[in-house]
Amino acid sequence: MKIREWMWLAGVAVLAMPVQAETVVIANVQNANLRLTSEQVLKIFMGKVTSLPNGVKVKPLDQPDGSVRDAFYLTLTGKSAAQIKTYWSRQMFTGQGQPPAEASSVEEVLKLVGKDPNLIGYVDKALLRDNPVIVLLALGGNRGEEGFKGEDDSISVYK
Amino acid sequence: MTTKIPLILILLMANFHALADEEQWFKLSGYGTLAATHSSNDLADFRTNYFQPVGPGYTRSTDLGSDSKLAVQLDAFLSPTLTFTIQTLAQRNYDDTFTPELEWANLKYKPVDSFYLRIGRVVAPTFMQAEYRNVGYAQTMVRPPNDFYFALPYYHIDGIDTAYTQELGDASLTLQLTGGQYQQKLLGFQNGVNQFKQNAYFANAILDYHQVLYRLAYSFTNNVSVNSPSIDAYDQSMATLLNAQVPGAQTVNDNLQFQDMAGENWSLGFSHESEALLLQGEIVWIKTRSNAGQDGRAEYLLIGKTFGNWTPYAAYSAVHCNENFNLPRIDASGYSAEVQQAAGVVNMMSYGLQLEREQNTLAVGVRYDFSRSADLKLQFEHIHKPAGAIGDFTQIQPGFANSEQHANVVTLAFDFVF
Repeated sequence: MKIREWMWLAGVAVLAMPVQAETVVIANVQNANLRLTSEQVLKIFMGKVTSLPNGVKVKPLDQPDGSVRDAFYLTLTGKSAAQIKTYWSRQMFTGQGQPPAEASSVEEVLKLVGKDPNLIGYVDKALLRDNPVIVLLALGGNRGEEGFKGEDDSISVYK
Repeated sequence: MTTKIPLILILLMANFHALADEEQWFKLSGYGTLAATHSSNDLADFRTNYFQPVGPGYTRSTDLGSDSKLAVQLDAFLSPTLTFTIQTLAQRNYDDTFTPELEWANLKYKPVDSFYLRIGRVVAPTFMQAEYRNVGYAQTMVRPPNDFYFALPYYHIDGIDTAYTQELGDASLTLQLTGGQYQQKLLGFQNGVNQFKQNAYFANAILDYHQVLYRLAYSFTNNVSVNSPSIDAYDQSMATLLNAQVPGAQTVNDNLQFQDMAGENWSLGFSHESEALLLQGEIVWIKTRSNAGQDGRAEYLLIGKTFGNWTPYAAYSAVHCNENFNLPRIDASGYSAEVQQAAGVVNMMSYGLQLEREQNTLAVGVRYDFSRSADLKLQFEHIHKPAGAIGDFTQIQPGFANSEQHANVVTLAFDFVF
């Protein structure tokens, strides 16, 4: 095999590497102006906090099992999918709490969050386009844990 | 056991999560373990719970009932602040039956995120993993280390459990107070059933910061009543010896009081759990008022690392006895046959209680998370017990207690939740 072919293959390999999708934490448009830190999101998804800073009751909504969900929890908590399952089995069987409700698909996450001001979910930012939800926090990418803080609100409201 | 497998498979197919758009007012869930436990030492039985009468070793070399268990839980969400939880657990009981017992049955009032109050039956929060010690799926190892967890063998208590959590920046500090009555049966000499009732109180402070958890705990217990043919026989024999003024009887009587088995314990725990590292350790200091219980210390350290679905781990645990026994052997030769017989009973009891609960264990194993709600574990343990101790074993055969002994314990476990 010639060097040029090797280089071509290497290029394909680089392109084929998974692009780090940017996951955003979303809420209903009624919660415009609200921003959360990753710590607040963590406490909501781990069942430790059940209301938003504005006093509104909050219910976390999980994506179905899969890589998006695993990456979300790994970024947020540093724990693997199995460790998150373990955490919930401890909570459940000591009567301390129940895991977040689980949507059947990412489309359902967007649909339910769009309807219910008490729900917060997480989706790939690219999927926000036609959905009237607001972004509470961006995870991953190079934006850091503080997400969209300080940026123009129009970035985070998709209609 | 085999008849349970199809049921388990059906239960496994049930969804772990509630449906998103359904507001359920109750939830049925459960957990279990199916395991084979083998011990190489045939002079005593290895046990996984302090009250188990048999296990692998002497009784049989491989035991399917030692680590196997099945629990079903119902949570009823009565109002946004009131939850009723009932959990029934089938595992090997003190009498070698698998009759289910109520593990949790309480009403929980949680008006705000930072406070709750539970009334009813709760699992005693003795140590860091105590409240979910039976949930194999919730643990890295097959079971929490016996050397450590046998130190406070209190399971469920009937009483009150309350906790308050204070947020401290990104960390949270939880103060938990629990108290209630504890009842346990234990087989004694000639399979007589001994029944203990005690009051147990626990105060725990837990600092939780991301993947790190620190725990400081204090507990004390005091005796309410003992209903025991073994102790009744001892008390009668002791009365006979005191009456006959046998030398040494008074000393034994002063140090061996079953009606006052109070004790107190301090413990510290640390845990770091992340995908990158699993590190966990606990240490406990045990102080008892009477020679009927042993003073001592126990500790363990667990280290592991997750590689995808695999988590290899290693743990070291040990229990040490610090009791200064002051129980002379009573010599009743020259007295009547009745007094000599009484001396035999008292000597047997005091000898048994002076056998130290001392041993250490090196464990290595691997957990494989092959499904989202089930795992497989293979664990190897090497237990070392010095001469003059019985460690955590039961069904002690002649030659075991007085010599140094080793046991290799191998466990293959399948844990599931549904």
